[in-house]
Amino acid sequence: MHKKYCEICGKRPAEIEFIEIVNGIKHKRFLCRVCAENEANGIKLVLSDDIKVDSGLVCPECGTPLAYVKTSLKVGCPSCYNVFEGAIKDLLKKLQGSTSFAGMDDLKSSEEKDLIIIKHRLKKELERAVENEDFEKAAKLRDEINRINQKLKWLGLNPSE
Amino acid sequence: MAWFESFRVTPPWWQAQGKIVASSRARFVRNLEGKKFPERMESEEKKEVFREIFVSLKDTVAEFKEVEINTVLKKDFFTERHILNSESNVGSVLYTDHAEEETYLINDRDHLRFQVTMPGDALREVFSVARQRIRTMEGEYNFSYSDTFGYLTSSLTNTGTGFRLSVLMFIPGIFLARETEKILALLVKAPIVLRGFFGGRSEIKGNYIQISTKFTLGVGIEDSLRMLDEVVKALVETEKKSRDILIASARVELEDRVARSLAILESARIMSYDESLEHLSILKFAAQLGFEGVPDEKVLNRLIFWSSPVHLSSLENFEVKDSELDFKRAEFLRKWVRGEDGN
Repeated sequence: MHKKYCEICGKRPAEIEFIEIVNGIKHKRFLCRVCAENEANGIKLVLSDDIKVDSGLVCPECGTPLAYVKTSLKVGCPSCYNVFEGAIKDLLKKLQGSTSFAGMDDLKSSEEKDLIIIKHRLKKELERAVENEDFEKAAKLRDEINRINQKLKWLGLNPSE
Repeated sequence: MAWFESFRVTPPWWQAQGKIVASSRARFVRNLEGKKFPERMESEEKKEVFREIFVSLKDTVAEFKEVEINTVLKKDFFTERHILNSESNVGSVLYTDHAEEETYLINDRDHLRFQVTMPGDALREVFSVARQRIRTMEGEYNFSYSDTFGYLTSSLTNTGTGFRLSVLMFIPGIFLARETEKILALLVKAPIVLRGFFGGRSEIKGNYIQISTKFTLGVGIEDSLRMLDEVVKALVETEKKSRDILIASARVELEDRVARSLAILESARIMSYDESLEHLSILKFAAQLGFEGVPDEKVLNRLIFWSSPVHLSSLENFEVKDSELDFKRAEFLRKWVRGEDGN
């Protein structure tokens, strides 16, 4: 049987079996909902009526544990940025003093910056269109993205300054 | 032909390095959308990423040298050439032009790493080349990107622009005149990372320092160029002043130091890498100041480069034991410093 009270606060009842992988070693702790959520740093925990195993501390895409991200400052795949968003924002704030992308350039070439932003928005729309099987829309979006790619290539080969 | 045969030359950017600002470098890393980063990839996935990147790269690298970094020896060799770094892994593919000015590295810590290096104070130039490659590649690949964080990279130290500028500086005057606290004060205020250049990057050896831009978030790349440029200019001024002070007030002490270093290099039988860097860099300083009786600066640049462990051992086709390396180094340096090869 598990312990009655949360291992962190010792006040609230333990409701979650909290599994953490640190340097490849599995640690099991029994925590209350509040403390478990704090530990998970913004990752949604799946709760059920009974004690629940929580594996939210490992990126489902690549298997990188959050503990590894924190110690190495490295992530395993682009999805880690979504899965661990809260924790990564904290780390970036400490590391870089900021979490916001300042763009690749100054205002002189804002045209390119805009094109890149638009391109990435269109790509998200394209994904959605494909998911919804709206192929007509997807084809249009693909053409639009290709046009932007051409434009970016042209700008790259013919810098304006 | 052994893989290192075509790398028997000193990298041109190193050989032609500037006096105080030795060289300038820009590099950026990018990853393809929807793929894990190399550290988490299986070899099949790596091949797929390689193919995807190579399709658009093959014309650019048609005349480049290709090296598969599949052994620790190769990794260490190209780390000494400053194409890979101490955090690189085995398992990448390298493309470099013959001048080793532009290099593409596929599947090291990120899917793609581009680097451009030029001798002397060439921050503007390397910046423009790198930015042009960034623009071209943005049109050729689907890079992993988020509206919040910018370009997504394997290391959080690169998240955002994935872009870094760095400068290699030779500043013996500052170290000998004990003006180091001045540069520390300067660097504390600026968003700059200070590193050593030889061996482990945390230690400063041979009077060379490497300074690079620190942030890839919150700061645009133009701003980081301006900030680094300011620090470099201030350091150059401090170095020049330190040299004037040394010549005016400590010439004899300096000459003594140079003579001692020369004598050691001419006669020592055992020479560690660190010790060789110390003496060679004093001689290089003397050559820059126009002292008589020291080897030419170009020769010294070459000796500094080839004294590094893996390159020294490549001169013997890697058939030298680690325990013999310090003897070999002493022998190699004796020969060249005495000018027995007439060069």
